[in-house]
Amino acid sequence: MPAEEQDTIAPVDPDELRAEVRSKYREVAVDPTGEHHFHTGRFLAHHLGYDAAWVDPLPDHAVESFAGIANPFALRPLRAGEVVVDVGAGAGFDTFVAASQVGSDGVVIGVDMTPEMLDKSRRNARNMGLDNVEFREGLAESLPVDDGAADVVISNGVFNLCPDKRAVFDEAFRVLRTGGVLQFADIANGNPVPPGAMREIDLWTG
Amino acid sequence: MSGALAERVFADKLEAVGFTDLVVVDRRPFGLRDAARYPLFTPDLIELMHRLLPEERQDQVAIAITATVVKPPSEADHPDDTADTAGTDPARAP
Repeated sequence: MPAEEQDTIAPVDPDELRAEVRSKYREVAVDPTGEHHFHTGRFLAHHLGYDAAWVDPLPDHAVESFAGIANPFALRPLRAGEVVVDVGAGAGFDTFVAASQVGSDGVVIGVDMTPEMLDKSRRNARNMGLDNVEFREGLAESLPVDDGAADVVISNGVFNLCPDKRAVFDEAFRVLRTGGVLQFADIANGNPVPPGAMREIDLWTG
Repeated sequence: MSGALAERVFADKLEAVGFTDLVVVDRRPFGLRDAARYPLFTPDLIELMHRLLPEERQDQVAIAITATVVKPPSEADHPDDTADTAGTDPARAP
């Protein structure tokens, strides 16, 4: 498949892929350290270069399910008062970091498609007494956010799991105001993925 | 990981949507040790990758990138002299 054509629409069933991703992230939400071999949470955040000043004040429950790829705040910390949309917010770790940066005059909207993650993120926000964050159920390909509502869209390790990248980028563009910034971290491959591999859902989620 | 784009394709798709000013802040090799920290890589898959990938490739099976892009002003933000300049940015309409 020519690189130019890579993944306009993924050659996997989008619903099947989303179900698989939900299933794996449900495990991370419900039992972040249980049977998994991987490190999530505080260890990973420090490994990825998050400033301790952002991470250390957060309670364990708000950090333990973090499973990002890198640090989307590396170039540009958020500014006080900004409206931010976190695409694929998970249990809310990046949302909470963003909330601490935008302050009480800002708002952070976390969007996720996994009910268990939403339950956890909303519970964490309540427990932390945050009134500048909100979590909404939705897909990256159809964000439940008004046109031009956001100053910044952030995302961390989510785009590679989305079956329709064009729709995801279109949505980020739509919800940003003119001059708004998309800042993200994700996995990139050095070369286009062979078509055979793109048809294997197990190779998408791993 | 099959859903990850090549970096050039990533850039092309963002540009096609209308984003500008791509800045890749960081590129980090994403190896099997990194993958093992990531929830979607099961122990079985990591073990399989260890067996199948040549040792020299195990430290970089992909690249973790951190980047920013900007939504630029549209033509509607720069109306010419004959255009009706009343109103607000349509992208910010409620």
